[in-house]
Order: sequence, then C-alpha cells, then structure tokens
Amino acid sequence: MMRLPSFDVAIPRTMPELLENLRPNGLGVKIMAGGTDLLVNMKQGFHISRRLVWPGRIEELRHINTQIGGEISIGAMATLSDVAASDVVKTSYPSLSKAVLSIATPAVRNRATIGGNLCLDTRCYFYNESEFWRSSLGGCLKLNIPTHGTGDVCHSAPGNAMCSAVSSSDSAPILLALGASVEIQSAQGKRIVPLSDFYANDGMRFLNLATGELLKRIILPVSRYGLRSAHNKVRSRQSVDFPLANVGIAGVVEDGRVFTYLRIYVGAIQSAPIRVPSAEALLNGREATTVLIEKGAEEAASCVKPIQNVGGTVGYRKRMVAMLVKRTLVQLLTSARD
Amino acid sequence: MSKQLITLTVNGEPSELAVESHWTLAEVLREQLGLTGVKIGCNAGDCGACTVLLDGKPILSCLTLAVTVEGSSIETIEALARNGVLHPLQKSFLHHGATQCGFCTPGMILTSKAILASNGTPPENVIRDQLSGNMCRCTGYTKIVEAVQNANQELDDPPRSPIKVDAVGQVTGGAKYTDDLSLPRMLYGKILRSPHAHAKIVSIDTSKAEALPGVVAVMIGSELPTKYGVLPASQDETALCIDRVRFIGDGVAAVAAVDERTAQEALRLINVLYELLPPVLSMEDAVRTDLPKIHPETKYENNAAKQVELEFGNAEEGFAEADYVREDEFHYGANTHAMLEPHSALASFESPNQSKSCKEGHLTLWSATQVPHYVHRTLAKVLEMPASHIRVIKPHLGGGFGGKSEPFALEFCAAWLSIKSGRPVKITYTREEVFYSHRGRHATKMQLKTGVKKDGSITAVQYKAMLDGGAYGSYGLVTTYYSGQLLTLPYKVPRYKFESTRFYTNKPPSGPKRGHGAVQPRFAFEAHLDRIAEHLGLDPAEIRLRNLVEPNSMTVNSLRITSCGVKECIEAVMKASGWKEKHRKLPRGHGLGIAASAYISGAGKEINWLGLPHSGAVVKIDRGGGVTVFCGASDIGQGSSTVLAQLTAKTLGVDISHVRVYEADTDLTPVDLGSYSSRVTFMAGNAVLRAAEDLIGKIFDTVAEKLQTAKENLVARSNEIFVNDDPTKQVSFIEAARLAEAKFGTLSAVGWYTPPPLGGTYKGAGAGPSPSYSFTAHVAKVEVDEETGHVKVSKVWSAHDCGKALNKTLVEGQIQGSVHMGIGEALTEEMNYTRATKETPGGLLKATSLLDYKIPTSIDTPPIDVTIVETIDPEGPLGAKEAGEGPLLAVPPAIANAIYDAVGIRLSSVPFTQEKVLAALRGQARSKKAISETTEVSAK
Repeated sequence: MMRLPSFDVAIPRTMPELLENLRPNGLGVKIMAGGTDLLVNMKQGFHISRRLVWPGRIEELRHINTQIGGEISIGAMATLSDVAASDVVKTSYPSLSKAVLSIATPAVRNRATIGGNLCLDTRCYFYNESEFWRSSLGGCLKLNIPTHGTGDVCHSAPGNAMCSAVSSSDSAPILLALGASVEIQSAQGKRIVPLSDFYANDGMRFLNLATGELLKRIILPVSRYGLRSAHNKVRSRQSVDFPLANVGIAGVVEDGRVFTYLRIYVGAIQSAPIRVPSAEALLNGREATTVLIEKGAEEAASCVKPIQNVGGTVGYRKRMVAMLVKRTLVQLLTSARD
Repeated sequence: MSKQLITLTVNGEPSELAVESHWTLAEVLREQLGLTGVKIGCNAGDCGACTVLLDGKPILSCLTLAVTVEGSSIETIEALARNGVLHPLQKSFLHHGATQCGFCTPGMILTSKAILASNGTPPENVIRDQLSGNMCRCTGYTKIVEAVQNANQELDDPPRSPIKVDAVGQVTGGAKYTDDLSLPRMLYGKILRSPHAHAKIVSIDTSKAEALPGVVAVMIGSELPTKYGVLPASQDETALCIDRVRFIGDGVAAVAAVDERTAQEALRLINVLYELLPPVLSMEDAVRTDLPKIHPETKYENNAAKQVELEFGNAEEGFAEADYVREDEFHYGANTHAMLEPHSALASFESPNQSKSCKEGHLTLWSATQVPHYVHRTLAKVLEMPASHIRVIKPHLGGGFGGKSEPFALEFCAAWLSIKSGRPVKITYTREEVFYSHRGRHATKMQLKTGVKKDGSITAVQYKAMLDGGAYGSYGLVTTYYSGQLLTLPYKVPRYKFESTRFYTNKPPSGPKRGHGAVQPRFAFEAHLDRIAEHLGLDPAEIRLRNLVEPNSMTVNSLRITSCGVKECIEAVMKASGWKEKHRKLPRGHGLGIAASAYISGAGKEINWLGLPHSGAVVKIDRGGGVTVFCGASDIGQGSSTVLAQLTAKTLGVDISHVRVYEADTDLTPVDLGSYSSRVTFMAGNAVLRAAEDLIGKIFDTVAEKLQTAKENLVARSNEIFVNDDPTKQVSFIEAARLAEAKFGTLSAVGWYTPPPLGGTYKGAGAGPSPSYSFTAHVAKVEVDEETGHVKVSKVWSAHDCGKALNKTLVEGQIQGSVHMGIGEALTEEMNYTRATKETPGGLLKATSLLDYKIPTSIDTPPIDVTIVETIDPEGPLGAKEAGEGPLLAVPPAIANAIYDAVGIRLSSVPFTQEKVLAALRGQARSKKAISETTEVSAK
C-alpha cells in the first residue's frame, strides 16, 4: 500500500480560526478540501506540505442557498453530491448539476467539494505519477525533484518554457459560462472577483490566490430570463475519467434561432478554461444555421492550443473541442427550457 | 507527529482511537480495528474496493483521513449482517451469483445499500451509474446489477445452482485475502525497483538503509543467485536483479522494516550505481543485431527469444487451389490482467535451533498465487531449501486471470527476508508494482493469408506472428506456440503453415492472460474471415458455419476434437440477436458483428514433462457424515472449490453443505498444477470424481450386503443410499459410511487425473493438445458515435459449449466476465510506454494506475446474454469442460466486425480507441469524397 508521508492536520471550527491557520508562517500550509485529489498526489510523493488545514467542520462553508438579491451562493466546502442534488442549483442552473455529476464517481463526489474542484491541481501525463515513476523520468517544470532532476524540462513539449499541465475541472467551464464570481477571504479581508480572474493559464501557478487566502464561496448571478446553458465532456470511459476536453456554454436564444450573449468556455485543454470570444462574436446575433454553428465550433477549436500531455493526441482533442461546441450549441438551440 | 484521540461510531459501536494525522480511514479500519473487509485495490480512489459508508453515504476510505471523520458513523461490510442474519443485499448477492473473487464485493454491497436507501426500486441504468466507481474485474456486472435490482424481492425459490461455497465470507467481509493476514512481530517488506530500462548494476550500497531505525533486514540479488522461470526451458529470472536490470520496475533490492512507511523510507536510502545500456524498446529494435542482447545466453543473434516454424500439409498447394486468396495484417496491443487484488505474500520462517540455515528451518508462505505448486517448487530451488521444509498456502484470492500464475519476486523476497530477520515478513505490491509485474497479453503483429473456394471453404492458411515478450521468458515459449497452434480451431484448415517469433524487449514481461496466446490470432482471423465473406458475398455467419470443425475429428496439426458444439453456439447467438433480421439492416452507426472461437480445457502436457498426474485429490468421510475434499486446485474466484464440492456431493449423494473443500495448501492437499490454462474443472474435477467414486463404491458394497441387493441397484441421493426400484429399502448416508468404515477401515480415497496421450509426434506437438476443447460464439451490438469515435457496446449475446454446466450460475459468470474483459481489450485497455526523446531513454509504462489503465466500468459494460450449450464431453467430469477463458477470444473480433457493420470501417489494430475509430472514419469520409469527386468528373 502506498502510505502517506507524515503531516499535521489542523481542523479549525470557526472562520477566524481557519484564517489564523492560513496565515503565512514560513512553513507552508495547504488547504485540503475533499482530499480526493490532494491525497492521491501526496501518496505519489509530491512533497506538498507538512501541514494541512481542513475546513470541513465549518458549517458556513457548506451552504447552498439563494441570497436576498436572487444570486445563488455555494460554500466552497459543499460536496459535489450536495451541489448536484441541490434544488436551488437544479432549479436555476441544471447544467451545473449535470456538469458536477460528470465528475469522477459517486463515492468521490460524496467527499470532493465544489471549491476543491475549482482549485483542482492541473494534470499532466508526466506529473500525475508516482515518485518512483518520476524519478525514472527526471524532474519537469511543474515538479522540481531535487534528487532526481531539475525543473527546466517539459516532457510533453520539450523546449517549452512554461508548464502546460491541464485544468481538468468539470465545474469550472460551466460556472465561467454562467458568469460566476468567487469570494476570496484571508485574515486581511475579503474580495469578490469574477471566476475568470481567478484562473491563470499557467500549469504551475494556475490560481490567482495568494498565500493566506481561501476560496470561500461561489456566487452565481440571478438566472437571467431566457438564458440557456449546457456542459459536455469527452472522456474514454463513461465514469471515473477526467475530461479529454469539455465545454461550458451559456447564452440566450432569440426567436428560437439566434444566439445572443453567448459565453463559450473550453476546458481540459490548457492550464485554465479558455474563453473563445472570436467564436462567440461569429455566432452572436446571426441565424444559427448548421453552417454557422460549424464555423463557430471550428473557430473555438482554432483558439485553443492543446499539447500532448493527457490522454488523446493534439489533433483529437482539438477536434473534440469543435465537436463539443457544436453539440452543446445544438443542445441549447433545441432545449425546451427558456 | 503525535497521535490524537478521535471518537467515532464504527458499525454501531462507539470507538475511541489513537490515530496519526496522516493515517487514512482505510488504514485505521483495517489495521487498528481489524476490519479487513475494507479492501485496498488501488489505494488511489480509482477502484472503489475500499468503499465504506460515512453517515450512510459511500465514500472511499483510502482517500479519507481518519481525523476528518471524528464524530461520524462509519459502516463497513462486517456490520451488515445483524445477529447472524444476512442483509437482503448479501442474500441477493449469494442468490444471484454476484460474487466471483469477492474483492470488490464489500464496496459493491455498501454502495448498493446506499442506492437502495435513496431509491427503493432503482432501474438498471441508475444502478449502473451509481456503481460506476466500483470496479469489478470478474463478473461483467450483469449478475451484480441483477442482485441489486432484486434485493428487496422475497427469495422464495432456491438458487438455480448451488451457491459458491466461499461466497458467505465474501459478502460478509469474513474472507481473508493474503494482505488481510498478519502475524505477531510481522515486518513489512518493500522492493526497490530499477528506474532504468536497461543497465548494468555497478554497485549497490545498502548501508544507510540498514542504519535507519526500524529497518530489520535488507537484501540484494546476489544473495539468491539461482535462476528460475516457470518453464524449465526458460530459466532466465532471479529473485532480484544481480548484475543487470532489464526493464523499468525490475527489482533490485528489498527491505523489511517494522512498518511500511519505514520500509518505503529505507528504499530511498539505498544507493545503486548503474551503467546504462541502450534499451531495446520495440520489436523493430529487437530484430536489430547492433543492440545489446537482453539475455546474452540465447542462441539468436538478435533479441529473439523463441522462433517456431511449422507446416502441416502443403499450404502453397492450398493457395493454388483457392478461388480467392486474401492477405491482411493486424496488430494487437499489449494489455494486462488488472485483477483487483494486488499480489501479496506473507512468509514466516521458523527454525528449531534459532539457526538461520534454510536446511533446518521450516518456511510457510501465504501467497496470492494461482499456482501454489509451482511457487513451492521454485522457492525450494531458489532458496536452496528442501521442498519438504516449505509450505505454500493460497488464502482467498482476489482475481488472477493469469497474472498470478508463476512465481514473483515478492514471494522470494518475503521468504528470504523472513529467513534473515527471523520474523514474519509481508510484502504487498502497490497497484503500480502490479502493472510492472504484468505477465499479460503480448503485443503481437500478425500477417494472415487465407485461400478459399467460392463457397467459402478454406483451402489453406498461412500465419506469421511477432510477439513482444518483454524482459523475461515467463510462459512465453508456450505463447509462441499457442499463437500458431490454436489457430486451426474452430474452422477446418486443411493445410496450414505458421511462423511465430517472440522477442525480448526492455519492458515488463509479457505472459499468460485469459485466453493465453490465442486471443490475438483469433481477433486477426475472425476479422480476416469477415473480409473474406464480404468479398465472396457471403453472410459472415454463413462462412463460419460452412467451415466448422466437427465432433470427434482431428485438426491438421493433430489436435483431437471430441465434443464440439460450435455450430449450436453460432446458431444460438444468431437466433438470440436476431442476426438475420438485423445484420446489415440497422441504421448507420448501429451494427452487429459475429465471431467464434475454441479453447483448451487444460494443456495435455504438464510443463515439467515429468509424466506425473496433473491433478490429485483426497476425499475422506467423517463418522458424522461430513465429507472433506483435499485438492491442490486454487480457487481464484472462478468457483473451482464449489465445483469440486458439487462433484463430490453428487457422487456421494449428500447435500453440498456436508462437503468441505480444503484447497491449495501444499502441506494438506495433493498436487494440482494450478489455476491456469482453463484446466481446473476438467482435471481437478476428474481427480475428485475418481476419489469420490472409489468411496461410493465401498459404501455400495457394504450397503448391498446389508440390504441384500446387487450393488448396481443402489442409488445415493438426498443423504441416503437406497434401492433404485424400492426406495423404502434405504440406509442413511451416515450409517452407510459407518458400516463401510467397519468393513474397509478409515474411509478415504485418492483420485488423480493424467490426460491421455495426445497430439502429434513432430517437434512442438506438445503445445496445443488438450483433452477437450470448449467452443464459443458471440454477437456484439455496437453504437458508434461518429463525432467522437466512441464505440458503445450496447449488448453482447454469447453462447458457449462447456460440455456440461456443472454450475450454470458460475458458467454464466465466467462468460460474462470474459466478455467484460474482452470489451476492455477491444476498446480502452493498453500498455503504452514513453518513447525515447532527447531527454529520456523511454520505456516507462504510461498507465500505472486504474485511472490511466482503463478497465470498463459498469456503465461501459453492457448487459450480457448467455446461452449455455451442452455437449457432454466424453472425458470431462460428468461431461464438463472449460468456461473460464474461451469466452474472451471472440469478443474483440465480434466488436470489430460490428463496427464495420455500423459504419463501414475495417479496424486492424486493437484496441479500437476513440481516436483510432475517429481517424478511420475521417479516412473513410476522405476516400468517399475522393470517389464521389472522381465519379463526378467521369460523369461529365
């Protein structure tokens, strides 16, 4: 059995206690949400931290409710199962519920959290492997192994100066498309930022989250009249697997045939979900004919730059992006719900 | 790090536990509370075997820290039965035969409990969806889904077939697998592995590891220098590498320490100096003569390991006679068993004089092995210890499929570390180590040439194969032969020629996997035959029916066919699937494909060619009427102990509950060669039957005297011996046994089985002959998503000729499990390696987890419809023959042929990944476009 390395776990009971635990102390701390990804990585010998903080006992971080203004607020520690099953979510944004249900497996979703999924470590063939495996290969940009190799090589794309490990969250693209914001808190105070500002397209530093800060909750705007949205993914098995590509799209369909206000996000290709404004522009305001949808889908695919670092070749994943965008747009056009 | 006290409720009882922060719930439940029903299959959240209920919801205990469940209520499988009464789900799993190896069962049942709690009568798709994180490698999920669907039904009828004799332990968590065992003062062992594909070992410095507190013993390869290999003709392995490493993952040193973390830490302190050699990573590399030989002692100039060329009749004449000759090339990717239970071995050496001399002490090894006898022999050889001082026991086993059918490094290392330390040592492989141990399906390149007459009858076949053997011999010599020899079934091939070559490469060793050697050529031939049928304008089912071998016949390479129901199999799946109405008639994207196959019921020749029985058994009768069977056959989940119990019970006329089977313990049980080669029901079954018949003969002698009747008039049934035409004249079995014991002395009998002389007289004739062959046909239905290339197998109809189904539920389970495994091989499972780049030499296995190595989930596996065809084999026990492996063979080609029916692409390379399918579809679209453009031009 792979055993975890030894570490401490702090289990704060209140927000102030939690924030106190997150204060920079020079030793480094890591927040563990559900642990379903983090603990695998730690078993594989990533020397993440000697101290974990688990906010699972703080009730307010697990809420899912509608705020006075009509926005939906989801605590970062709400489990994926709770999010998917929530009436609030199912009523306003069934696409989010569906996206969340496509993550991992039922037992994982009972433990994994929405905050954890948004902060999911980026993935790469050459990174998500055991310590032994990586020692055989040597270090990489994302992983400097002092004893086994320096961190100046990218095994997926030799010559790359920047890590391209993949953002593999299935909740992020749809939340981005829906215009979600996140509340970030530290001992110094809180800030609310659009989710799009939360991500950086950098495999190593993919979250704009400073030391001491915590993703506290996700805020979804009031469901706009007529907004339709959907999430789709491609993977090789119909359970368990991370996406080879996914998309989240939200928009309004006017007269049943014209897209407006489209927001198209492509995930699982680069180190952050990628918005494709040129495809949106091409599609918005015109009659959504088959030809136009295909053009929009091709445009979306041309905007993203996969490298061969998870399953599937570059060409396949690009084609899957076009296919997913097309399929999702058609789904929006034909969905009954306004 | 200090321990902290946590309180939680475990199985209804409040518990206060001292735990460290970094301990997982799985570790605490298993090791502190002894709740070993919590299984560790991957330890990474990919298999679901460790599922427990946390406040009623299924969670993965391997990914949950114990400190985070303080105050919660945990439920494990151990608490499901209340006051000795099984939970309805447990009963239903037993009733429907939903367990095979049982390793996934605790997690499966707990998840199912949660499903039923939130949905009283869930439909099949909900069950499949909710179980999709619980991998099962044995059952194909069909029977599990049935068990969950019907859990709340009253079970009025008795089960159709006897329940597996070990199933109660499987559903209650009571069954102990090797890793569930522990002994006082037990140490944990770990093996250091080579990070290089090919290198010389210059030096190994273990001093720092030895100095680490908690480390008790360290070993390196030179301590056990004796070479071994499961086949006498390929003794090319040592317990650990001595002077050279041959693949990334090859064992180099081993440590035993007080706990696993210390052992893990100690490995980091061992310093090995390597001198790199150029790696041989492909068969293209292996044919080169300018690369170093991986095993310098071979007779070949390059890295060939074995080359076989045989011709039966004159193939060229056959091609000349043909109306149509077709040639095709195929490739079959490497894949592996991925049984849920990792390899595990626990060794305990005890010496009467505290002496460390192997000659004096006694060693007991519990090992997750399919072949205790081979492990026993090989341990004696490598440890240089009398075999009489070694006892090998196979505890409950969590699946093998060929992946545990030879000795492995951990068995020698656990034994030697126990000898060195004087303490018990347990080594359990991580999931990653299981992948490096491999011994799975050889990647194979194949060329086929077949001549046919206009009516489809085959005139000649020529086959050429190149097999990627990886770093060691394993069973590879046999694979090399099987690849060619078994291709003459199930169709009549009047002239046949083959050439088969296995190569060494610097990759984990290939070996036997379910359907050993025959799966790759069967895919190739069945796909090839479909193309031939199309050329001739014949229905693919029809061309098969026209060429079938017949009962009581002999193939061109001297394989003796006795019972044969292949025709009935093909007809059955045609009927069940509506073949005639649907093939070529479904809308685009949907298709049906057919394929057929045959497989051995055990090898006719024992691998050591000693002329000894292949299986032996002792049956004894107790004065209380209990019957005990001792047989070396290993139940690896397939249910062999149940079949042996049934054969005994039937022969003696007692209820199966009175029969107990002691299996796979080299001290207690006569030798059986092991669970491989689909030999157990046939061979061990015959051995047990013979012993039981001997006993009933003695009983009949006695009773005939007492009842004043002829022996021939007696019947043994329902725990009684009675006169056939006057059942009032009867003696109870217990009384009859006592009378017989008074007359003959202590009641026990031995039985054994040795196959009759089989096969031809040519060199190589020993591989392929079997006392009997099973036959199978499948129709697969697929739906192809033309935008993603995803192939969904939506239904499989299977028919299998197993001679006589001694236990229908078990036979169906074997067929359904084979189909599941075949679907995985066909679509998603493959062993891929990193390529050489400027930065790295390559040869690193890419899929080392059950996340990256993609076995089909309950959603990816369709309902599997089974027809059992019975032909009553003249030599099988009560007419039975194999069912465990044969049903896999025809699955990949049936899917390939169905894909063609659906979308018109011919796939020649297994697996048919989404990507390959999409690429083929795009190729098709391009050529169609090109054709239509050409047509347009010519029309103008």
